[in-house]
Amino acid sequence: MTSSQLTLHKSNKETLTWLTGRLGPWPRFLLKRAMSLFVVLAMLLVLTFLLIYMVPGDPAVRKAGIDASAEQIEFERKALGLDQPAHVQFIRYVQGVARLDFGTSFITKQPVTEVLQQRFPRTFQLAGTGLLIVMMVSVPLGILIGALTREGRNRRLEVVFMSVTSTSSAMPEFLTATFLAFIFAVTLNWLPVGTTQKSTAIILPAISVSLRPVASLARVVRLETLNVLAQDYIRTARSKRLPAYLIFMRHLLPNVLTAALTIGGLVFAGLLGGTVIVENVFAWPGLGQRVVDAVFNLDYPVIQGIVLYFGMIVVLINTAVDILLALVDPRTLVLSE
Amino acid sequence: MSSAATYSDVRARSYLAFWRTPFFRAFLSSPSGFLALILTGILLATALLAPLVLTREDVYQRNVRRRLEAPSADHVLGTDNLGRDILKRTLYATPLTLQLATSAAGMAIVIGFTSGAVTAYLPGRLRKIGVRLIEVMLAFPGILIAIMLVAVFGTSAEGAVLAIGIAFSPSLARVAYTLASGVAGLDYISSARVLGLSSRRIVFRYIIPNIAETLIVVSFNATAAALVAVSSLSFLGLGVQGTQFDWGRLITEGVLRLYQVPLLALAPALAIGITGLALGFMGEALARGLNPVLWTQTASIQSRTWLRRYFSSEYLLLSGSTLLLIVFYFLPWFGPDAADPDRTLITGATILAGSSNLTAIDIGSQGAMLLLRSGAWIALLLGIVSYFFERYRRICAVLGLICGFGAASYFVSLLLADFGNPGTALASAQLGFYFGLIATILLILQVISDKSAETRGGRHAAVAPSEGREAATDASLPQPLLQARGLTVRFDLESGPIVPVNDINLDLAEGEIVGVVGESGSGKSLTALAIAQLVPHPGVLSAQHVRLRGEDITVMPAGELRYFLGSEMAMIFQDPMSSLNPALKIGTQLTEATRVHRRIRGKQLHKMALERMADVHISAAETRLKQYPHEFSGGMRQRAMIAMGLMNSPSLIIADEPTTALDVTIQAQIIDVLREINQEQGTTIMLISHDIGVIIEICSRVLVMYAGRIVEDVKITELMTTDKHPYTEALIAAVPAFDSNRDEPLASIPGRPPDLDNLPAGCAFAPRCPYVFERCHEETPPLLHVDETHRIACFLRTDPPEDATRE
Ligand code: SF4
Repeated sequence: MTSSQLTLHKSNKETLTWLTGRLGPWPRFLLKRAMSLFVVLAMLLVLTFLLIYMVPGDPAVRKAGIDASAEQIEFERKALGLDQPAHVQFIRYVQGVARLDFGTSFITKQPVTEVLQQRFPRTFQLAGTGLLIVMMVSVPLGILIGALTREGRNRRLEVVFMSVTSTSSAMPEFLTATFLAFIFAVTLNWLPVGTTQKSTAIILPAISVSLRPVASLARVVRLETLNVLAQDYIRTARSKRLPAYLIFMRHLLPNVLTAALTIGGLVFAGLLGGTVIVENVFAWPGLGQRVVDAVFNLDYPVIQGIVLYFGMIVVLINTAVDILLALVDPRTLVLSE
Repeated sequence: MSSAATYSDVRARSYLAFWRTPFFRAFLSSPSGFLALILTGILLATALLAPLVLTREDVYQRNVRRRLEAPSADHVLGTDNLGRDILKRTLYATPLTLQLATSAAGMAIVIGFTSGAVTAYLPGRLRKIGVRLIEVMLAFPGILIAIMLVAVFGTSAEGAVLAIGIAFSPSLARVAYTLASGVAGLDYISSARVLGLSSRRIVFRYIIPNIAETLIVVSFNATAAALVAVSSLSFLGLGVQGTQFDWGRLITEGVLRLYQVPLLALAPALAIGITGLALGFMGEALARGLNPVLWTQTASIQSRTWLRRYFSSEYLLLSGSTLLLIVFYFLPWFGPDAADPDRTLITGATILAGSSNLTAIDIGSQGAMLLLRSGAWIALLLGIVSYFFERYRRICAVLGLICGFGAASYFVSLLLADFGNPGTALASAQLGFYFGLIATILLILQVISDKSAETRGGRHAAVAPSEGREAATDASLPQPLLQARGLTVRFDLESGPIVPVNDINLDLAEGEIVGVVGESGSGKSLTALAIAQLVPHPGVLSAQHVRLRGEDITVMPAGELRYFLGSEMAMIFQDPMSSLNPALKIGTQLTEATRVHRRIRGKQLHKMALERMADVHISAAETRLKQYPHEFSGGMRQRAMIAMGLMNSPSLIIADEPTTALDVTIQAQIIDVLREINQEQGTTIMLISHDIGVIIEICSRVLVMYAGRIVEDVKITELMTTDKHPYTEALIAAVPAFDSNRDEPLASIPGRPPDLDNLPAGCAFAPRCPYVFERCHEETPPLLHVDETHRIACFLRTDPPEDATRE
């Protein structure tokens, strides 16, 4: 009995290895990615679901209002499904999420899905512009400084670069935002703040959101540039007397970009976190502003919905980065085994 | 020996005073340490003194009549919307802010470090899950997690601290995990365990000291991050509540009134910025202080250098002019009349000077203001230039200091001047004139002295080493393929110049295979790079000439040189794995140079590549060309590398240790391929190796290098028969047998390899030479012919002393 179980178990395992062994590197890689994506999403669902249990106080009371009668509270409890056992509640929650139904705000009585639809485009606009700035500035800057400071050249430039980037990567978004607003809006009166009407209104929030990621990514890119420039294959390319643009475009850039991409997920997460803050400084009507309101008012469905939404974006971006990496650098496929 | 004595003296003395300890020296060895001390001191003093000095009334008492005031003598930074003093409130918030930040950071550190360390000691599968969990948590923006957790813990100062403590722990957990799993695996830990030391002792004696440096830096960074996060939450209204306030909360009030009283937001914002900087600097400086490697370095530097570095002219210039600009530009904005900052400044100056004659401020003083500001601007510009460009440093420093000083003195004269009196205005103008005059004179002097220094240096560099002797022999020989004369590479390091390639003269004939042998550090690889014009920074190449096919490549214009060397010379390097670009297909790497230099492409290029692959015996070349280097075996990679070198049919191949990274059978293959190429295509090969066995196998001639010089140039056929340089003898004696395994043939040469920093006078080999005699310590033996084809740099062989011949 036990031995047959064992063989069964073993053969199961063998089938699995046989199956994965049969697949090419790409399907195998995608399968793995999909599995971890699934696990993380499940974790996210559980965590946001548990939020309701962790928050002090009774959601039903919260929804019905402070001076509600016992019947009203009981009614709300039923409506929220809180009278059901926990697993039933969870299943309902997952079903709701699958139907893109996150419940209704306790305070404004607005469906959370509607809140997301209204607010997300603003956040996306800000984070997207921020990401664009991050990519456009930090990669060229990092490569340039890296090339100028290679092999210990231009020590002073290195010192300046390091101190500027370390200062600005330690600078919280709301400080950057305050300083920028003071200089460009108050002192110079070049750019507007506190409005979304003018097309220039996004400039200051986008810069505030991207300063920190720009600094940290530029540092990484510079280090990676130094690293690549010190590689033997760059010496080989130089010994072949390739023109500078070829060495740069073919031998340096792809390797540097790959490294930049590796931390792309983290950079984006940082950017998203910054968005939450900056939206509140500039009264930018995105999700970040809304989530702070929701936390302040303990508006559970809105908190749940927004956190889940942000979480899914982060997870999807990370998966996309992984796949992109595998596309760019064939070694990743082999290494991820 | 004297230096060793002084060093131990320094150490012995150094412990007497705290500021002389190696820790503190290393701590202060960069400006950040200095700043960290000052800033932290100010912060701690504020945090301790503010609650004692300031009463609750000072910060809470409302005074609506004096609301939103600009800075004045009563309220240095002005007042807020309830008429409370901004400066006092900012200072008063210091202890609370620091307390919140440190407790949040403390929590994050405790949670993070323990969970990370525990994860590292979990059994296999659980550990994997733990690590993955940490990674997933890290992917989410920390501040968002914190905001969500605030909902759980409640919107209060304590809630914010708890939320941040948890939300920021994953990154610390990862650091702790990496450290713990790294340290636990180290040899000395397991040997300590074998010795029977208790776990506690192991942790405190071995583990903690080894990871302390990283932990300290990480902890300080975490505190800075926590400060930012706590302030962010307070700023969002999710942190400190009620009548309490921290910096974040002050900023919330300020942002609303940014247009009316900017200082309301800027003062606490600056406080956060400064604290963040102080924490960052402190972590950095402490890590430096705890790094024992730096102790010895900084101890030898002594204290004078860092002080001098701080107060060198360019730093003074930069910081001074920046300060002046800030004062002149930004302070007036906070004055009573923001629309006319100049007037504010002048008014301020007049008030400070004790004059009440405001109406007397006239156009003259406006002009002075203009001068003053431009002076500060020019000083800043010059400061920047002098900071980056060593060449112009002194000129800029002198000029900039004068401008800055001039601007400052104008400011002083403004302060002191009675504006109604035209005499003083005239005096200031005169003062400016004299400054200008002095500046011009100094500039001219500086330029002259720089020029003369340059020409002196230039002439010195142009002095050619050892000329005449070789010239005669040159004419009699047929023109060689490669001829280098006086090839020298010099590195000017802080510790002094070193010359790893020293006055090399060599000829390579067409079709020859010449070996270059020597220990590591003999300069053989650098000689190859020097011939290829690829000397790494900051090396400086000089040579009388390096002729390839009769063309002097040291004077060739860059574009031409690229084409010429690209098609005439190829290089093969030691490690084929790292020398090929891992992200590019072999085919691309093989063909790119031909495409560029010979403009061949398409089918023809592909056919060439296939032929070259056949030359080096790579089968299935068609598919191989489409593969990446990691799909090749080591030997095949090196052959692909050779094929790549052959693409442009070069006349010279320089192979730098082409067989070293490979195992013995593969070595033989590579040697065979090189020999075939030489025989079939007539390519000249310069083979560099530390392994004289390899060289004897394939070369017709060998150049032996020692401490940057050629010490012997001899035919392989003569190598076994004639008298040799003592170093060559040692090299050969060190090879056990030519056909046996020769992995470390040089290990047994007695004595230490030469130290380029510290070469002895006379013959560099003297400390290790069994035949050394008096003259060897006095003169450097020149490389001289002992017969037609044999050159040696040794007095024993070229000019033997009497007693040696008797022997
Ligand atoms: S010169 Fe003197 S020390 Fe140098 S190798 Fe010859 S005998 Fe030895």
